[in-house]
Amino acid sequence: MAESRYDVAVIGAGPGGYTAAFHAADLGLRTALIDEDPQLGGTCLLRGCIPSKALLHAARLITEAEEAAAWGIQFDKPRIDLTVFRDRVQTIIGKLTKGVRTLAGSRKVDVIQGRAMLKDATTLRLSGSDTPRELSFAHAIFATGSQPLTPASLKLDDPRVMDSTSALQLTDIPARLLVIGGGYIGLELGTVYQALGSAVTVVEAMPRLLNSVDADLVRPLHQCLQRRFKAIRLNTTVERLEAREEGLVATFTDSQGASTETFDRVLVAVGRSPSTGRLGLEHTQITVTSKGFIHVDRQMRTTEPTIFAIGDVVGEPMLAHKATHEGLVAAQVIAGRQTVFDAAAIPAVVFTDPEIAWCGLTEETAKASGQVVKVARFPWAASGRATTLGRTEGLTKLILDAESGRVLGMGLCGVGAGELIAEGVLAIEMGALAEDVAASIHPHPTLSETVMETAESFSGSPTHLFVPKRS
Amino acid sequence: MNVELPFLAEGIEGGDVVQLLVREGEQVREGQSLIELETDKATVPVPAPAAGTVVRLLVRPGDHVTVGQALIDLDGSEDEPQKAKTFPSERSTAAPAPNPDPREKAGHAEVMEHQEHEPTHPMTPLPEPAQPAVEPKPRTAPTSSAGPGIPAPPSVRRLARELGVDLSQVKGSEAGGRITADDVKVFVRERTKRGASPSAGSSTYSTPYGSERRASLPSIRRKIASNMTQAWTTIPHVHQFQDADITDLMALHKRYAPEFKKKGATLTLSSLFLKAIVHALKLYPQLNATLDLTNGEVIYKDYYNIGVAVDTPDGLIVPVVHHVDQKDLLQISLELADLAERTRKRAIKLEELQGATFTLSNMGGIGAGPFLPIINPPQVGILGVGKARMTPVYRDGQFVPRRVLQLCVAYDHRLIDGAIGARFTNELVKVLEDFQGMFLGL
Ligand SMILES: Cc1cc2nc3c(=O)[nH]c(=O)nc-3n(C[C@H](O)[C@H](O)[C@H](O)COP(=O)(O)OP(=O)(O)OC[C@H]3O[C@@H](n4cnc5c(N)ncnc54)[C@H](O)[C@@H]3O)c2cc1C
Repeated sequence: MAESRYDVAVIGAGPGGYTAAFHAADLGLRTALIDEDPQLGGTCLLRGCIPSKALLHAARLITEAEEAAAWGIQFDKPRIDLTVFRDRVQTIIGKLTKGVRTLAGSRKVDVIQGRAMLKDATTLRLSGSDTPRELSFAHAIFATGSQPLTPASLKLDDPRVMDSTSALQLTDIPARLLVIGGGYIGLELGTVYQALGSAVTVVEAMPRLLNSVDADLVRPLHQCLQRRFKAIRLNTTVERLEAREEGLVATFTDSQGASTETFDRVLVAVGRSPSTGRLGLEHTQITVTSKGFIHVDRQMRTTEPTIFAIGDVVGEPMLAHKATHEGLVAAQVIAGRQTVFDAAAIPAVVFTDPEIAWCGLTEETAKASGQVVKVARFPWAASGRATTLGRTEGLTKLILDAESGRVLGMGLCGVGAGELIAEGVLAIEMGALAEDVAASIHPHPTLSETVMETAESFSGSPTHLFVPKRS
Repeated sequence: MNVELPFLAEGIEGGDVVQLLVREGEQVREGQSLIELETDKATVPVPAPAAGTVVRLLVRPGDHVTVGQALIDLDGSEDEPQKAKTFPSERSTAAPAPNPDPREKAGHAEVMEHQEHEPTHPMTPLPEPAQPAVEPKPRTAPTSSAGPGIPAPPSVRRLARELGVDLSQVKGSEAGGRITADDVKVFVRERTKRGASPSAGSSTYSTPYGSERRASLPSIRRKIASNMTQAWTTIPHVHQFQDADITDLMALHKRYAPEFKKKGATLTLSSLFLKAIVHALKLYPQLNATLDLTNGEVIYKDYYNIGVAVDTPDGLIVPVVHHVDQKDLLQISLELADLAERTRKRAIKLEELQGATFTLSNMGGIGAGPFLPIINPPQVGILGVGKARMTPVYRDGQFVPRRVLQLCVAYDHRLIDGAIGARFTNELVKVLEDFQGMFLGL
């Protein structure tokens, strides 16, 4: 079978790759799914979304127990058995990755373990645990994902310097943790380590955390983190790291000048870079952007007609659900359907506590582009449900077309924001107006009511908030 | 000038006036909807062909109007000032009549927009036509229409892709400019009408089996498709084959064709078939009838209008030779040639496509046949003929070469029994084999 030709060869078994392979097989195409990792699921399942969300769930248990004190419920300080903790995460991953393999089997997708490299536009060279061989294909889909990026200045051959992958392994709980990078991965993992007992310092070079998110959504999170973390240092860069026996010495530079501080561990979370190395792209007409992403069109075709690419390797936002949708499009296009990736909104969620979620147009993008929008906000202090939860720091906002009230964007900060954002995506995709959202009855008492009340304020005053009329 | 009901789409011959969207004395801009017309296909707005002042309304709600009929007397002399009035800031003042139907307004974004700006102004402009307007911006590839920029649900975006429609050119009929599936369909219909090629709709792509090309279906094709489906799925067809020895008919044709030529006509087999059909229909009126199942009645027709299928570059069109029974062969020949010619040029009038009681489909010209024709309802019968072939026929103890035509009559078995259908077919054959006999009343 080694020499036989596949209709579709998918390289990378992350959420993008396995989705593409499954749909290609469902559409009647002979499909191979290739990954060098013996476990299927890619970054998302093995060292990304799933383990990080499992850890965050555990962290939330700890902080909720602390919040219980406000109700007169007192728990002792938790004792944490890291072995059980890690096993539990592994069990979750194991269950899900087995599920992917079972689905691949029942769809008759050939799963091949090995590292793939292009020999030419229709042939792959496979190396790895299986005997090296070649595989020819009519179409290939590259879904090789991305890897944590560590700037040269922070590269130390010391296990105490971690990237997201090693931080998720939870080798120990450092007393002093430095998180370099105030993006979502740094804040999520910082939240986990803080809950488990670390004193966390976050350093961010930009003037605020989560730089691409609207400032008003970040503010409630920033305030919560300020209380929990030891320090949040904005406009600050880490010039260098030095490994000493007593710890890692970081040299910071900010407007005040340079300073040093010692930590037990450092998490570098400054970004991710696309995995395009050693793929043999040079043997094809595939081109990459200045940031190293593979060039694709809206049908996920690369500049080589037989080859498609999807997921983190083709660009931002590097999110699992974007990868899966692109995978679906690629499979359908190969099967001859006239599909394109034309999502009007891709949601993003930061699973901190509180969570932040947004989709579509942000207020700041609208402002920067000069688009006339109306922004409707509803503070959770006016939400009955938020009050019962004791979490009134949240905010719901809608970015609306100034004239028609059409929903162009939605943003949330607050507990459960990640579950609430899907309504905004649906509204945007369907071209809904604020009026439509406001007229849809939302269940009481839930946080989802805040979306309805935000929409109400486009043309009047929401029930639970009085907005004085502007003249 | 009189604004006439324009040709709206294939198959739309006219409709009922649902409402008048303008008043006498009102100034209208080009493209503004004048009346709303309900056709058997859809409710469509009829746009003003030019800017001007409505001098007189020539129709009232409820009237049935047909293509070409005058609707409104429009004075188009004030073209320039009218144009100026279409600027948004002045538009409210240009439209003196508030929309009589408040429900209408919710459907039109344009209206809402101006109400927002001038909430105290008592007048609201008329709604934009629910029909898509071509934006002045250049046509962009469909690849540029992502993001929340265009309010169309994913299902509509898919439809647009499949029909090769660039959504940035489609005007949404719903609140907020939301584009519906219907908006896209109307856009396509309009585009077909304008004869524009759906450049975006014809796209080539590769599949594991080779390359394929998708092109959007012209509206005439869609119309044919739905008619055929209806005919084939609702009518229980019987196909009756029979051989006709037309050697003598051909001899007759050969003998008289030059005479016809002198009179400027071409005697074709089709004209002879028409005569034979009418002769047989007179004997078997069930085949010149329509089935009215709703009222449980048969409608027998005392006129004999025969549709003749014509192959045109745009698809099959069936013009009708009216009152074949009252015309002689010369008249029929002249008329048939003229109809076919104008049909191919699409210069045929609507009434010339209507009123058939039976159809003839002749594939002899293509050298094909025999074949099973499909009845064109509300008719109940059709004759399909192919090319006659020289065939050895056993006659008087020997084989003789004869020109034999295999013909096939299809009839609606709900109305016509096999025996009648067979006798009708036999009669046709009899006439074709002994044409002079028909004139002798045999
Ligand atoms: C800590 C963390 C948390 C995250 N949390 C979220 C979240 O909450 N929500 C969210 O949407 N996203 C999250 N992400 C991002 C998400 O994991 C990625 O967007 C997603 O996994 C991208 O999927 P992909 O299919 O493009 O590639 P990946 O999941 O990266 O999969 C690529 C696969 O390709 C394989 N591969 C690469 N090169 C080769 C080769 N040459 N031959 C064979 N195999 C190869 C790799 O082994 C890998 O399995 C998180 C990421 C991290 C790191």
